[in-house]
Amino acid sequence: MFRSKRCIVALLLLVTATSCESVKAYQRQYLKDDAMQQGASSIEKSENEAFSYREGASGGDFGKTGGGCGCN
Amino acid sequence: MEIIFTLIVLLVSTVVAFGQQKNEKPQEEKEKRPVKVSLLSNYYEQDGDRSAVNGGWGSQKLTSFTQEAGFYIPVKDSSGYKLHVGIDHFTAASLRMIDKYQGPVASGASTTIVAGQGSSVSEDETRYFGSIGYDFANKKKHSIFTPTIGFSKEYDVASINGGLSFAKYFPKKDIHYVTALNIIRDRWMVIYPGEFRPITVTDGGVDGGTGGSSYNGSGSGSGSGSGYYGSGTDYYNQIFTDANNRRYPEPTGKTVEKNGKKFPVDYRTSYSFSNMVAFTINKRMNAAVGLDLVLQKGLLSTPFHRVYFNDGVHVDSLKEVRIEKLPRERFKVSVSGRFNYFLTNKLALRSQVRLYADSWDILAFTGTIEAPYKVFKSLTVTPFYRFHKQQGTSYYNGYGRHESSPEAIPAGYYTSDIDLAYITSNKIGAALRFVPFNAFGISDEDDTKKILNVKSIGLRYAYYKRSDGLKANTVSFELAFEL
Repeated sequence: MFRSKRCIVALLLLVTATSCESVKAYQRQYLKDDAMQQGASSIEKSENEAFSYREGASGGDFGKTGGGCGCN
Repeated sequence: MEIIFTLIVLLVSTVVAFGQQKNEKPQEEKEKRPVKVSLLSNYYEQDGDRSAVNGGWGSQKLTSFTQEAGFYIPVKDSSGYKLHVGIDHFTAASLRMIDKYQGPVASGASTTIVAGQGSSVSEDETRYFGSIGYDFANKKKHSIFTPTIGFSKEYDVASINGGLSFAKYFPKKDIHYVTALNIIRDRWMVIYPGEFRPITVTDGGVDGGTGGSSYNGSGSGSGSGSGYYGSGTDYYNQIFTDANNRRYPEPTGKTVEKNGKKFPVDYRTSYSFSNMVAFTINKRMNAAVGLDLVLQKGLLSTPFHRVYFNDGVHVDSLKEVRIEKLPRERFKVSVSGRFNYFLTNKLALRSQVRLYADSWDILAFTGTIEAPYKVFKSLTVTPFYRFHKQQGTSYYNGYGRHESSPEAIPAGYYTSDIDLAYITSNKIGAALRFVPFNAFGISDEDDTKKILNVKSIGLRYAYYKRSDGLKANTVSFELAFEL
């Protein structure tokens, strides 16, 4: 199940390791957009919290990882 | 001529005077940072038929309404207070089933079952939670250190938590690194299903109840006859000891009183260590990788979850039943990656992948993709899709499928909670986000400046469906503004 997922992760690492370039301040209009935020927004975290109780997995995006309520 | 000269002098003097007044404004007023406020509302509803309270079948109907408010109060430089409060009101049909029976239940033997007279846990519950933190920012070093403390309180669980987080920006490499350590301590009021609650806790031991023999030798077993917990049966010990022959739950000796009844107390401690590195690839791409490590110790099962066994008995009230039993330790690891790409001037692509594994043999893959599209400069529509697949724990089996012989459960743990089973799920939805291009909000009396400046309004809807038939809908609304 995880073979293809390992490929995806490896591909991501390859792309990022070979393609980083320095971006000047005046070239950042896309990077500053909310759509490029590197992490879940607060409204997304609030929604994900409800679904995290319905699954055995948790973590990522500094969201709920367990404990703090009468949940798994 | 003199009049004209006088008028010119007066005019120039007036302009200079106003100009001086502008320059004389206090330094603090110029650099004042606004207070940021975020108000969040979330409505969640679900329905399914695999309730763990009933041993893996029964209604999972639940509705939840959450209100949260977050405040950022700047103090000096880039430092400030972070305050977060919330209230979560939920109604769950399955909670009614905790006391579906009262009195001891014996498998095959004579029984003294009484239909439940009402649950000790109301099906209508409210959770209060909050936290406060302080950002110690260092502009020169591009870093922020944040200690936080918080609490959560609901009917049967009270929690306190504390954490430290550290964020650092490396401008030459354009890399952000964030790390956080959190500790959560939960105190559980242990509420067993009704048929297991003739037991009362006394100092130093547990009363065996009617006809029972005391477990630790110092309780008093009153009455005679053979009940479910009578001498000669091993059920009591099977239920209340774990695979390592430790008392389960741990005999803290503490009790808490609620609605005139005493309940035993147990604890759960969760330690989490979260990390994320975010970096820029080029002017249209960025990415992030994260690693979360979590260790949980203590009571990790849910005391009012039942597990029914494969004993050939078809009448629910006569079936062999035990309380869910899970290991008192769990270690979790999750690795996640994010990739964002601004495809065109209006369309972006956001994606996330998460791999998860834990010591209960649960393995999971989660993938999310979003496509924010700028309809106008201030309005963005974002459709999204999330897929989740998990390999369940080996402790899981469905209603009436667990085998009770020691050979069949070598680890001595069992659950019928389908949240821990082999499941796949799909979530689909859309979000709207409005970011005012010009100042939008409430002005002061003179209409010279905004005293409440709306920064964004968000609306989000998602539909969730799981492979076992559970379905859920959720709607979230956010209003962010500055004062």
